[in-house]
Amino acid sequence: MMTCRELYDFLDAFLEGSLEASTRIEFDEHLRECGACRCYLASYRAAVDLARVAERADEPATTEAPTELVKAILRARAATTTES
Amino acid sequence: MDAAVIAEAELLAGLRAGKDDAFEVLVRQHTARMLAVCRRILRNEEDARDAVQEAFVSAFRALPSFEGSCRLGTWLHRIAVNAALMRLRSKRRRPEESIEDLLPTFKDDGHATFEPRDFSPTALQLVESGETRAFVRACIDLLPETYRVVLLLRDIEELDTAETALALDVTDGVVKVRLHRARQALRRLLSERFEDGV
Repeated sequence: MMTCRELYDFLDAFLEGSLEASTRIEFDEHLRECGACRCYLASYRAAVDLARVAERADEPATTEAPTELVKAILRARAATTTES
Repeated sequence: MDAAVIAEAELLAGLRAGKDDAFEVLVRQHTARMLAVCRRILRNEEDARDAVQEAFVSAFRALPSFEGSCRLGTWLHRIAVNAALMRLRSKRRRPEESIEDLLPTFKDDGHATFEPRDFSPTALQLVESGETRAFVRACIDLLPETYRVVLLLRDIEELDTAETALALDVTDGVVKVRLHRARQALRRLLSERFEDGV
């Protein structure tokens, strides 16, 4: 039977849905028997979700670009055009 | 055809014709999103703004070779990621810390040496608060940089393994190993707070 250590190694492939069929059977068998690995998988998946929420939730509205930065970029473009 | 696709085709035609107003539209449409990407990677406002400017200059130069096989936003997103990574590399000074202490350990029989707990219900509820989201970002910042960057590119910017490998000039295998370790380490850091509430 797959060990906890081996199951940990397959977590990303499992989450991507890319586990080979035979490995997936062993993975599921282990999860059914092992509460600790079920907890680890749930919290591992939560860590990925939390990172996504935390990094994206406080983004400024995508339409609001700082005016000075927009002007600086357009000046840089003008300078590039003059160079070429 | 979709209205957004038509608008983008018109914008692209204006850009290719060198029309100033087309460039202004492009910059106004995409700067905020590119800035968000560069802020996440660089964690410094001044560096992020410089990287966005560098990204646009690169994009303006590369525009004649843009084939339109993806949306302009996707193309600019990749350029912004590369500009931020280049700036990050130029600023890297101190040797990187090891991630080993944050990784799970196992007994000889393959069982974990710790008792993991499922903190997902508590954590996903708490993440509604800005303070919790700031804590999660602080935990991401505690990851050694090569791991933090892979986590950001794969899980937040949603580059695939091959795109991430190309951006970082490493193999697909290295990206997979770093991502797995980064996620495990982040889980461990988060567990120290959230498991109390389980």
